[in-house]
Order: sequence, then C-alpha cells, then structure tokens
Amino acid sequence: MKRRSALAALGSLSIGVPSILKGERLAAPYQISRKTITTDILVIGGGTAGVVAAVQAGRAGKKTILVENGSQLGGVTTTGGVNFPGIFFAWGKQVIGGIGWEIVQEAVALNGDQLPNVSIPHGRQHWRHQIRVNGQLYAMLAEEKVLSAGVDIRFYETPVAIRFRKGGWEVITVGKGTETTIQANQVIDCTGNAFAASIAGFDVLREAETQPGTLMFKLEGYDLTKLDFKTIEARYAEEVKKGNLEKKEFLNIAGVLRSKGDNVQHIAGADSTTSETHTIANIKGRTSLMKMLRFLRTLPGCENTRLADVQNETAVRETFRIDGHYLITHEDYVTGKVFEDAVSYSYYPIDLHDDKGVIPKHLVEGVVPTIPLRALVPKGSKNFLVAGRCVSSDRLANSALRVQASCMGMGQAAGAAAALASSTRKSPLEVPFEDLRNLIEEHGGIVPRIV
Amino acid sequence: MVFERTGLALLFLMLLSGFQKKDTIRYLGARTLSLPPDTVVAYPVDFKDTTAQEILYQTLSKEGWPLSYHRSIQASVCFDGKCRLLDIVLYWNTTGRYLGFELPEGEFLSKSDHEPFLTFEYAHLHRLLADSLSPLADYRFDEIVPGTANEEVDAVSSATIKEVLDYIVPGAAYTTYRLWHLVYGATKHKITEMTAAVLSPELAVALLQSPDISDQIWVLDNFNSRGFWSEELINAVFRCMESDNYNLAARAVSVADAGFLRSQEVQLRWVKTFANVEYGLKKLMINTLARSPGLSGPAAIALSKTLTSLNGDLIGSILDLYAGYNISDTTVLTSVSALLDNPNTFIAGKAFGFLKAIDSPDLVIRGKMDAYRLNNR
Repeated sequence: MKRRSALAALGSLSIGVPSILKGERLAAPYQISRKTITTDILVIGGGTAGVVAAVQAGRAGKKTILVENGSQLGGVTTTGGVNFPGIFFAWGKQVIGGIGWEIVQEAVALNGDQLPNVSIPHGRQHWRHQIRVNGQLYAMLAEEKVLSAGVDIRFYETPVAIRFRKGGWEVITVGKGTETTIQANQVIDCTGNAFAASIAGFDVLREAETQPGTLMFKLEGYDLTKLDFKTIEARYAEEVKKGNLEKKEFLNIAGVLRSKGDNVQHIAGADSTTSETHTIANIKGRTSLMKMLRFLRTLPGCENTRLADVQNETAVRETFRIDGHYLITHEDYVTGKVFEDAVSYSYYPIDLHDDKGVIPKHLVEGVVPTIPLRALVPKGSKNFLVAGRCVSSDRLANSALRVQASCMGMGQAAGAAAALASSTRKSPLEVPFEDLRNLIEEHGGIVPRIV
Repeated sequence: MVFERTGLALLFLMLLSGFQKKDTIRYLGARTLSLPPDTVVAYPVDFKDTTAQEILYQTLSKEGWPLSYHRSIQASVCFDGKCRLLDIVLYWNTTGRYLGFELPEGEFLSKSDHEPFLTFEYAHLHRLLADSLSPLADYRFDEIVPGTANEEVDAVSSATIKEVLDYIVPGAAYTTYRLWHLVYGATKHKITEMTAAVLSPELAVALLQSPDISDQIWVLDNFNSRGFWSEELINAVFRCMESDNYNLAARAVSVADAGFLRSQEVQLRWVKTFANVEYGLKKLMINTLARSPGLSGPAAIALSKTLTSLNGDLIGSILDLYAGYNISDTTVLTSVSALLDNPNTFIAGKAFGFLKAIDSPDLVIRGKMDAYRLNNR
C-alpha cells in the first residue's frame, strides 16, 4: 500500500504538482531575511576579546550587538580548545582583572577546580600560572554574561561590507538566510584577524611567514610509564625520514605522548581570516592528526591509542595586525614601558612559535608590559577600535600580546572606550582618559598608572 | 601505601637537639610553628621509592601539634661504574613544605667526578629543592640526561638538556633530580594527610599566622570546620580575606561556610570587608553570602548602602541575593529605588526588574517606578 502511494507521488511529481504526504504542508520558497537594525556599539567577533568588549559595553548601558561567525562564544579559548587563558598575575600581583577574570573565576568555581597558587613565582614555567578552564562551560558562561548584559548575539554572521556614513558605521552582515544592515555608532573589531578593519578600508600588516597554528586534541589508551621511548623515537625518526610524517608538525614524539596531545601540533601558515584559508588550516590540522594517530597505533604499548577529543577548528596564532596610531614594539614590551594612555597590562613571555618549536623568552623580574589605547585604533579611523591579537604591534611583541588574558584586557578597554565615545558622540581617542580609566576600573579592570 | 601507627617500639621520646648534631652539614629553613619539640613519633610508611628505610618521623609539640617531619634517605648514586650511597635526612614543615636537609655525621654529597660538594653547592641544592615549581617535575631522568638508561647515574659525560640546567647542581644532576622528587613525592602527600587529620581550629589559627603565604593557603585548602568556628579562627580568616594576596584572600572567602556566616555580627563584618576588598573578590563574597543560612536585616541594609558605588553586574548579584532571601525591608528598597535614576540603563533596568517583582506598597518607591516607566516607554 505504501509502495503504491509512493509511486503515485512520483507520478504527481512528474507533471509538476508537488506531492504532500500526511503531516506535511506546502511552504513558500525560503526567503533571505533582509533587515536594518541600529545599535550604539557593534562588536564583530565573539572570541576572547569580543565577549569582554560586548559585556563591558552592555554593562555601561549601551545598546550592543555581538556578531559571531561560529556557533558559540569564546573563540580560541573554547572553539580553539586553548582552554588555559592566562596569565592574569605577575610577580605576585593581579595585573589583568575585570570581566575576563570574572568569567574565568566563575568557570573555575563552577567546575570545582582551584586556581593555581600564583604567590609562588613561576620561574621559567610560566604555564604553571595558567588557569585551566572547562572550554564548553566557559562558552556557556560567556554567553550567559553577554546576554545578561543585554547584548544581542547574532551567531553565524559575518560582515561583507563596512562603510562610514553620517558619523557612524553601516555594516552589512550575511549569515544563514540573513542579510542584515547594522547601523552602529561605534565598531569594535574583535575578529583576531583585523578582518573588519580590512573590510572598512584600514591598512593591515602581516609577516611573510606567520606562526603555525595548532589543532588541539586529547589522546588516551596507553600507559606512559610502560613505553620504550628509545624505540618510539627511533620509529618516529624513521617515518619522518621516509616522508610519511612531518617533523615540523610534531617536533617531539615523546612530547606528543607525554602531553597526550595537548598543544603539541604545528600547522604551518594556519590562517583563520577567510573561509577559504580557515578551511585549509582545518583540513591540514586534521590530516596531520590522522597520520599521527595511525602511526601511534603501530607503536609498542600504543596499539590502543584513542582520540578522546578533538577540537572543531585549528587554533590560529598569528594573521593580520592593524596599522594603529601606536605600534607596540618588542622593546616596549620587554622593558615594560608604561604609556600615558595605557589601558591594560599584558603579561606573557615573548612566545614565537616556528618550525623548530618555541623557546619562550621570559620577562625580567618586575616587568609588566602595558597596552596603549592608541594601539587599538587604526590610523585614519573614526569610531573604530580593535581588541585582541590584531593589536598594532611588531611581530615579537605580538607573540606575547596575542595571549588570551591580554586580549581580555584589551576587550574591556575597547568596550569602555566605545561606550564613552558613543555617549559623547566622539571618536575613542577623543574620550577624556580619566573617564575611560574610571569606567574600566568601575568594572574591575586594572589600568596601569605611571609611577 | 601502608600507614600504621603501632605502639611497638615506634613511639620514643627524643629531644630534637639530640637528633641534630652540631658537626653535620645541615641546611634548614625556619619551621612555621616555633614551639619547642617534645616528642618524635616514627611511622613506618611504604613509600615505594626505593630507599632503604621507609620511616617517616613526626616531631610533635607538647600540645601534640606536628612541628615538622623528617625522613632518612638512602639510595645509590653511580658514576664510572663506581657507586656511593646517598645518605641524607630530608625535612618538611607541618604543612608539607620543604624545610631542608641534613647529612649524617661524616657524610657528604659528591658530584660526578667524586668531588665533594662545596659549601655554595649545598646552598644551591637547598634553594633548588625549595622550588616547588621546578621543571624537574615534568621529566624522566633519562630525558634530562639523554643516554642514562640506568637511572642511578650522576653523569656529566652526557650533556644535561638545557631546559633544566638552571635547576640542577652542575655535576650532580641525578642527586638533585632524585632529591627533588623525594621532597615533592609521596612523602609530601602523606604529610599533608597526617597534618590535615589533626587540623583543629587552634592549630589552624596558629598556622594562619605563618609568614609564608603557602602555609596559610594550605590551611584554608585543608581545613574542615565541621560546623564549628571559634572567634579566633573567624578573625584569622577575615585577616586572610583582607590580604593583598589574591590566592589567599580568595581561598579565605571560599572557606566560609554556612556556620561561618551564622551570626549577625559576622555578616556585618562580611559586608564591611566586601566594601573594601579588591574587585576580583567582590562577586565571590556575594556568592558566598548566598550560601549563608539567612541574611540578617542589618547586613541587608549595610549591603544596600554599597549599591551606588558598584557596577551593574555586582548590583544584579546583590539584588539576586535579596530576592533569594525575600528581603523587602523599606530601607533596602529605598536604596534600590535610587538606582532607577541612574543614567546607566543597564543598572536602572536591573533595579526596576527587582522592584517590580517585590511590588512594594511604599508610595515613594511606587512613584519612582512610575517615573521610570514613563521615561522608558
């Protein structure tokens, strides 16, 4: 009987009349939803910096929209799987606080974790002051914070046009079945890639060679204490020599096993700026991991190696930076220069990854670098800020500034500067600095002071 | 691991001064508790870390408080086919923190070329062993000195990897590595368990006076109030909360349970402290207050006086707290209604949402709410 109905339906199709089964109803073809909305502040990119910028702007009482091209907030910390967003303390004192710290602190508490004892200097093991968070929990907490700040989240959208008109910005975004014109008084680019700044027509900078990216994963199914590392290392060298594995992707096979896959892979040229470049980075990361997994399962003692988890995206370290009103240099960073318009601290070793790995260069005791507001503002721009790793800086300074805690500090400063600029109908660099300091500090941020 | 305290010849009285001979090589830091030692108790513990004697000695004060722990270590260290015994006594604090080492009479430590340690090398070893975050934690010995299949080798013929060069005594990589792992291995965990088992409020108060922050943090991490809080301990915890060390202050806030916050006086002091602590602790303090058995009227009013100095997020948390405890005191509601005039719409909106749910009959408050509605149509 069913077969007869199906055949009848096919017959109907053949003469152009749609067949409708029980429970179905005919719907008109899907229409792209086109609309225009207005806001005080538009934050583009819901990653580490964008979340904090949006929350700060919302809590300052500004109507705020946050556009994110993925499905969740948190960026590198969540989707990228780099769920250790440090470092917030330097030389025994908290140097980055505020909204980013609030989310980290709550993520730690809600997961029943404990903060590391940052009273003890980390020496050369800066990662001992890193704070591990549950990435998925962090994403949900970030979303909760953003929503409770009254921010309108728009997932799956990306800007395709950004124009300055009548003292504000008109940003066209496209998403799944949407094309939205967002009129905003202030725009904050938190894409990490200076993507919005680039679309808006501001100059961006990039090195010929950028730091590699990393697909984060977790291995299980072997007993580290029972492995014969000499044999394993010899086998790995053999496979590299044969060209079956790439040494520059996994520099140290013992490290892969010891860390169980945590932050051990290098994908050259990984770039998340566009759909095309990000697709390549993701495919390269997964291909490399599949080769490694298959190899590991041939090793004595590793025959049952399994993938306990793999992130959805290859996390990216370096792409484009803006050409800002001030460019933070390596010298500024390692000497801890305190700028008159410093809006946040940053604290991390110079941490440039390349095809030989990474040897962090630690800061001299007592040094805590700072970030000036001018480094968050593209040259020639109005009502436009950036926050995150696309901060105006040279490559070495950027290798430290790019780390999440610093991006959170920048996000809060950008959110506050945009809120004040929006209230006074000015550009961020025209906002009285004391007002900016007061607003950031009121929301728990730590603003450097010249002693 | 086996832990037993038998009465069979394991308990013996011993003056500590008699145990530490004057002509031995000894590097010892100060104990947290400077009380005079009274007894030393020996515990046989199977640490499974290949030393000959597996006895942990606990030095107690007259009050029965653990003042320190020590352990005699004997292991062989080899070079060029010749082995010599590593014979050393390691000391730990009450809290499991490394205190120092002592060599038996006539004993000395030697390097790869069989040369005895020089004075500065002993001091260097002492500093390295005090570093709880040493990278030595992350390596197997054959990774530190490649080519040392036999782990009991202090070799310099194979170069030590550069990542750990600053964390070993030159020429004594194995000795440093071995001792570091003994200091921070199973013994430390056992000590932590043993002290935690006798961590009374009185002992906790005494340890919270330690000048070493890690001792204080250890107490807060390990103390179980079992519902009882002495006045001295409450005072000590408040002192920690007021510390400018974030870790210590945050743990002090976290340790406060319903029993801690039971009295009106403590709640008022809590609110007073809340007003003065750094921002990162404020949310923690409000969240902790939400776990108390109730919120006293005076504490609720005191908290409402802080509202105008806070940002919207903290105000929201306090309003949630009030809602959780059904606070409808007119003084509190009047303070909240003042926020309706705040130019920050996020703050004013929070206040309005709270007051709307309370539906206060107070005419002034209702008037303010009507005005808010009118201005925000």
